[in-house]
Amino acid sequence: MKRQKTKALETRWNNASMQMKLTISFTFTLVIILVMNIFMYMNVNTLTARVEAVYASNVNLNELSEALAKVQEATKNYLDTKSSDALNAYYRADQDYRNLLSDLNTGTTNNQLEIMEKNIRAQSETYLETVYETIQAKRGRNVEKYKTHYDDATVIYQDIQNCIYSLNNEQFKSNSMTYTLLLSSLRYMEVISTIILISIGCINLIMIFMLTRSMTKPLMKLSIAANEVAAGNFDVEITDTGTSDEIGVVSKAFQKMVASIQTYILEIRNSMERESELKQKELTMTNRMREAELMTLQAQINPHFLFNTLNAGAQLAMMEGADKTTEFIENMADFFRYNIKKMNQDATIEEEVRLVDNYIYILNVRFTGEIHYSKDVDESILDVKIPSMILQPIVENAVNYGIRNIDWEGHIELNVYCKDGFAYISIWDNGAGMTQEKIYQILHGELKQVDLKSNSNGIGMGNVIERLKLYTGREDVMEIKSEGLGKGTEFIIKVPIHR
Amino acid sequence: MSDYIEKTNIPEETKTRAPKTAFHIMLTGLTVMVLVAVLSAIIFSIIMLRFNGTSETKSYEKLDKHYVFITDDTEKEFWDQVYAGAQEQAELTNVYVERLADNLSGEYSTKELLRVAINSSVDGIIFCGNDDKETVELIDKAVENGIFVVTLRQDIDDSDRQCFVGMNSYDLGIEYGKQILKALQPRTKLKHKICILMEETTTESRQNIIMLAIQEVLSAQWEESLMPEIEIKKIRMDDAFSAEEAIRDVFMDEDNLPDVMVCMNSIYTQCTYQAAVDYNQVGDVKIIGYYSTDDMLEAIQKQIVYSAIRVETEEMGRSCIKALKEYEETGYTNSYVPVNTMVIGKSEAGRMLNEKAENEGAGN
Repeated sequence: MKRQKTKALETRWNNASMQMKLTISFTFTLVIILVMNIFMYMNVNTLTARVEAVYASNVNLNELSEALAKVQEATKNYLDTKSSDALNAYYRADQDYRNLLSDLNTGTTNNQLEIMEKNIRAQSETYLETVYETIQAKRGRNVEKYKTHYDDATVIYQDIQNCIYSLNNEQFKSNSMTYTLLLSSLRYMEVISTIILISIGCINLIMIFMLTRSMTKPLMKLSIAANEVAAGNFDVEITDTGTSDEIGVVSKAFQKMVASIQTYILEIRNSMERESELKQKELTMTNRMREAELMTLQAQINPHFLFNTLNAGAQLAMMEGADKTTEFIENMADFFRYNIKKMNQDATIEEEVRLVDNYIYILNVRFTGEIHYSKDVDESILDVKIPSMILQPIVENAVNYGIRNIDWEGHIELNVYCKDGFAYISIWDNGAGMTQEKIYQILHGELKQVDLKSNSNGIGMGNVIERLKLYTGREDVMEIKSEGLGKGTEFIIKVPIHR
Repeated sequence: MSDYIEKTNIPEETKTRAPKTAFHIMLTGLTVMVLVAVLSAIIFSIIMLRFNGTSETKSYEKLDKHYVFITDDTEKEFWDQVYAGAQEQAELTNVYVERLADNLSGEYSTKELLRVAINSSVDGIIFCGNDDKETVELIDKAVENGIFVVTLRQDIDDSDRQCFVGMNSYDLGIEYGKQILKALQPRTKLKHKICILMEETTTESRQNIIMLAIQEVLSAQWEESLMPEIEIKKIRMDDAFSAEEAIRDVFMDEDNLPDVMVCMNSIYTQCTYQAAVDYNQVGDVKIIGYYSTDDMLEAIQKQIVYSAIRVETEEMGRSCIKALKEYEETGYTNSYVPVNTMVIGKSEAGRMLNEKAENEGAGN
């Protein structure tokens, strides 16, 4: 039960804000010190009051002595003057003295001081009686009697004064002892209270020191962790403070912050990796382009000049009415124009197919219609983008290595179709065919450029495949099918459709 | 700032400590402080209690009667012993015995003390003093005022005192006579000389009875012609130091030096003993003294003092209270209560000293 209470208290403490904790601690310690101070002050005060009271008895005895002297004086005055003033003074003095006497002890006890008081009181009563008789005798003009009585009274008066003096002395001795005891007690208390105050102060100091340290320690840890984070180490661990105060909140926020920063950094790193990959790709692409361009430039010394020349030739042929020549030259011009124009840009399937048409036409004029070319194009995907100068090199390859040196009639078929969200472009020939080894070599770029370049117009298969891969970001961009030597070859390009 | 933090080393152990310490520190600190506070409060209270216990007016025991003890201020040791006996008995009978002279500053004569006691309306007076007229009157006045009076050591039989406690003068005289006889054996002179030192306040009758008793003893032994010459020297007690001077005068007169000196009180005994030593008369002058202190025992053993009469002092004090109490309760008492006396000679002194030594040894 008690344990549970403590636990509950601890939970409440941990959930309290730092301001509240500090306030509670300081208030408690302050209250304890305050209460102790008040307690000690009260005690010391009581003692001091006692010290003051110690000599009160002496003062009282002095008063008694004075009152007695007044009675004696008043009596003497009356005897001297017999005036009513003196008589009144006597009555007053008598009453005053009796009042003071009433405070004195009458009983017999085993205390010497009280016995002395008793003696004084009894003697005083005898004295007052004698004085009264004196006064009465004086009033009755009994001279002899009042003189005797007065003498008796004077003797008793002196005895009483001596008794009072003696009692005063005895009381003074006793009071001095009490006073000494009081003083020593007071000094003792002073020392003790100083010790207590100092020890409570020390405990307080230690407590506050430890308390503030326990509060600032997580802050220190936090700052160390922050430094580590600043130095780039995100793997810092911050133990939970277990509290809900400001420091707990800051710690949790810091933990969250570090976790967030880690996530962000991971994301940035990934995106940077992707970006650098892309850049790499772009760079390779550009390199390949430059390579292709260079090849083209090497093959066709000056395409502009050639193209302009061809245009001039076409116009000439048109003027001469040679339609076939015109068409041939126009086709050639289109072919070269495409080469010039499209080298650095993406092209559509349509443009590429048209280039193939031009190329086949030119070849057929060159080789007098040896090549039987047919095409089947799905027109819905004609606008699909592909890298330029892709199909022509493949067709060129099919012509040069497929059907150039065969004994039978050469056929080339171009099929463009759409399947599963991909555009497929198939270039089939019934030519020489390929071994599987060669197919593998082509697809993996292991074929020596020399083998491909001879008789080609410049752009090799490797280049084509590479560019396709870079453009689509996929590996399965081209498939080469051949059942073996003399059994023809089919190149299938697979491009995702992005419109 | 960052440098500072980097340089600050937090020990490993503190890093791994449970994070709940703040609460525990707080709890422990407060508990310790509260404990200290409570403890100091207790200590303070104890101090205050201790003080209260000693300083506050105690409620004293209520007693039935208030008696006063009045003697002259000589022979203090003797009277101290008597007073102690009286106090002892007073405690048993619920009575307070006040030694009036002790509580008054200044010199008070026995008469004056008697007056104060009467005016103080005490219940009883134990008195040792002269038998002069004034004293007798005062005693009579006291009795008239309903105060019981017991005279001590020497009787004032002219007064209305209720009782006398003391040695019978005749017995004392007989005792002294026997000692003188012993001291003068064997006879060395035809006519010995004896000096009896008496207080001036000694009443005439008492003096006569003592003398009579001594002579009775001596005359039984010796013929008229051999009777020693007896001189009574009265010493004034009112004048301070007069005893010592008077006794030295006796020793100065070497031709008339007595063979025996009888001292009727302890002061005279001491003075005589000292004078005998100083004047190298030890053995020549036989001193018959009055016992009060242990020093006397040694003196007797060494035979500087021939012998001493010892009075049961404490018994004397007790008897006074008993007599007063008896009178108060029954209205009458014996008018004379005797006090035992014994003679201490050389052998008794030796035995008493041995007993004393044994007692002290056992005590240690």
